[in-house]
Amino acid sequence: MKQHNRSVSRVVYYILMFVIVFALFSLTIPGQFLSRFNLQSMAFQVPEFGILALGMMVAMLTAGIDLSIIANANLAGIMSAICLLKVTELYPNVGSLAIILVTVVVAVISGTIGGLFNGFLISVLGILPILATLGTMKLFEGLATVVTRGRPITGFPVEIQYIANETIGVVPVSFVIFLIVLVMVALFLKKTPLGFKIYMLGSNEEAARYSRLNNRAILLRAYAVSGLMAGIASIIMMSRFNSVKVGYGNSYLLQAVLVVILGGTNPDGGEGDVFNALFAILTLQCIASGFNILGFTDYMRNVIYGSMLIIVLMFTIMVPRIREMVKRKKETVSIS
Amino acid sequence: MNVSTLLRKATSRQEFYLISVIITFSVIMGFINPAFLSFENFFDVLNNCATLGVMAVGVLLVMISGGMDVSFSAIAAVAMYVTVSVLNVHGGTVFYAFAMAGIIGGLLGLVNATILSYFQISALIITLATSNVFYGLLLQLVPRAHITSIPKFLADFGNWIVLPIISFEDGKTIGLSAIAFAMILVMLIMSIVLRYTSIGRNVYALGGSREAAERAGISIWKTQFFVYCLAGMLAGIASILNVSMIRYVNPFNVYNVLMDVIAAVVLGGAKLSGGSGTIFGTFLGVFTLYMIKNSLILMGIPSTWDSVIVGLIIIVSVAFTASRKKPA
Repeated sequence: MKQHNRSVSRVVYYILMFVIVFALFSLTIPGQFLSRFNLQSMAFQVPEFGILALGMMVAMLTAGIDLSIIANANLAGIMSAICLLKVTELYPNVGSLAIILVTVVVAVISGTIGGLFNGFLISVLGILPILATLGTMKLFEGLATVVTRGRPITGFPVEIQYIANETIGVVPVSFVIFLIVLVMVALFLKKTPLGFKIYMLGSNEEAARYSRLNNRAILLRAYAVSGLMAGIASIIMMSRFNSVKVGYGNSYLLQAVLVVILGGTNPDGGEGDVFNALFAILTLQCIASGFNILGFTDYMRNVIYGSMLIIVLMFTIMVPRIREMVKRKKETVSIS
Repeated sequence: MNVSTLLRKATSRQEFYLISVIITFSVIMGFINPAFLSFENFFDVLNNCATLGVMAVGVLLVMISGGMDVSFSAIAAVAMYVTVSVLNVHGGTVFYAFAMAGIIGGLLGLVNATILSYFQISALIITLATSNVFYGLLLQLVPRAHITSIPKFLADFGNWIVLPIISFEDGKTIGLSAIAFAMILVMLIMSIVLRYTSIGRNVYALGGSREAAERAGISIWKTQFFVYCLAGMLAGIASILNVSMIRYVNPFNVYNVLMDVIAAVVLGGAKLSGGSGTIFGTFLGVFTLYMIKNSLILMGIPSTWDSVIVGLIIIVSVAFTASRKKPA
């Protein structure tokens, strides 16, 4: 129960951070920041990146990491693009539903297989996650290059472009998908036995083993979920650019790790909350868009993310230390 | 020492396997395409190794100390850009170029070391953050990302053959280039430092067991400062080797070698948990990666297969190491 209370109060911090940043930009550049165009473009930019970050988060909860997540997403996108183009070539009159179904199913299956392969290397062969996924990152990248010869695949039906470029009312379709995925991951982590076991395994692997948890099975499934997220993200990426290509979104990799840690996930495993991550992602998007309006390039995003990470770390390290100091002072006062 | 213990000792080392891989591979390749076994090809591979090799030494050092550095490629990009643009205006010599890039790299490494020793949290996260800051600031502040002209002395340095072996009539010579020589020099110096100086031994001690090192009176922060600054410095030096070889400043390419370098160091037998790894092993790791990439070209396999092969090598090699670690 105590644990529960603490995590609730954490979310409040993250919401507060988001509100402050949002208010700050709204007050300084109200005309542009609060414009419908800007808010909508922010909502367009969050999903693909946010879903990848969720996948990374699941891996990090097990005290691992998934460096291959972007490469996996690209490979999944390419696989589904090839299948889709084959299907539309063979059956030109195929309906919208079938088009979307083929794309989604192939992308999700491909991503999950990639994730399962990571899980196999890590849980069965016992390779360190960072090394295993470094290897599969190259492998997936390579397979995608071999299949496409490094060229982009373009020209998808309008139904695919719809996913990331249309809106329901004012909210982008992709943002709705992101929120649904987010809630599902949250339910998965907090309400299912497997989710609970992932936290257990991440916080203490040895204790989990002695509690007769099947660590191998848990790791395998955790990485499969991470791969699944890559598959879902690939659909949105594919739709947004209306093309798939090796190396799309490579810069997301470091940023995904960064955002997950900024969102309060402990890279040593066992600690982290989906909603904290959500508000961290939204806050960073506000900052990035705000600075964009102020005339900084997209590279500034890297600088901001990096400095934010250091600043947040400083706070998380310094606050307990200061508290301790205050406590000690009080104690010495009460003794004297 | 009889043969069996010698054999057991040899098979417990990563270097042994890498050398066997290199020899087996060379023999097979020699049959397929005799061009592989030429001096020209050998020195070509060695030349291409140089940038990665020097960076890898820095990463190895960090890994031995039980830390991690993912900011070295960003540091190299910054050092390269600043050095070349300053020297393009003011002129100078090769020595200036190396000194300047080394100092810039060292200073950026100092930033890593300062944050790290103050907060004592995951080095991976710190260097991830600083890498984003360095790289982002560079691309934000410079007018153009690429510099197409470099000082003449750097280009000359890139062409300089220190130890000619064969000369052709058309003026082309084959031999040990200055670039490869610089890499070998760095590696020799660093292996002496690691093996015979007290600071080098401290790096191993810190990685082996932090607590034991602390109790033995080793200053943790001094060792960390040494390691991270040196890694930055080596990244700076490596960036100048890269510029003089390709004669073009391209921060994106330099930034993207990150994973390749880490892969090479791991392939060379260094452990992420710290305390082990050798310069020779790292050299073999880098050399193996480039040899295989190079032979793919000679075998006529399209370069699109590059990443597949490299990925498989990494997976097989780490799976092999993981299986060896388990008690039989």
